[in-house]
Amino acid sequence: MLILARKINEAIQIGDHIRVKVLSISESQVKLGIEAPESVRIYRAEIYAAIQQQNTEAAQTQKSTAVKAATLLTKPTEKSNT
Amino acid sequence: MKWFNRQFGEIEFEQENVYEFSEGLIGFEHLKRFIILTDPACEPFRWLVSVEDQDISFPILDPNVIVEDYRIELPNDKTHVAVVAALKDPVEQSTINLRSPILFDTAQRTARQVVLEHDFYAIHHPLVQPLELAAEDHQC
Repeated sequence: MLILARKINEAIQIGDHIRVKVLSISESQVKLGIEAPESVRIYRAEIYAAIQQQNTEAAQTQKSTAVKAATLLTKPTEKSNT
Repeated sequence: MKWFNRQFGEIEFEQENVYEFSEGLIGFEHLKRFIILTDPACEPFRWLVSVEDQDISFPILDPNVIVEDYRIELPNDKTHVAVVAALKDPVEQSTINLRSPILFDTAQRTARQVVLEHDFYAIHHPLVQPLELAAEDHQC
């Protein structure tokens, strides 16, 4: 891993099109400003990981499991409107 | 056109029914072309089936089936929304991803999985609420 020390208002340039600037620093949080082309998707890493995990689990769904889940969802419920 | 999927066998589809995901799905960025398959036994789920990798299909669902009044901003009125479902056996472990819905542009036949900025909707939203399951148990 490349490690660089930066002060407030200093930036790092990644390739030709991406710039990450340190906007503010507090005791436990850093605010970063990111300039990148629209085609570059930017995520908070833990959100990306959680979605990736969810998609991976979805891709492992067996048809028989979907049939089971569908049956549960479409079974008439005894909910009343009163 | 014909395609073979591991779960669904041989599938015939029209070229104009393919949705182009220019960015892929998160974690599956290399797959760009999908069709939507309807299997009556699986409804209300439908399947987003890759026509590039025969092992890949995702159950998807209209989020309004699960949550009332699922509201997100849509780019235009030709956009349809679906969420990805990770279905498990037992069913109560299943989750749907309300935080990153897939937006299908039915006119352009393009689609993308977006990530909502606010965290009002969960990535692992339970498919069935514990309360509903408890009610199921009491019925028998």
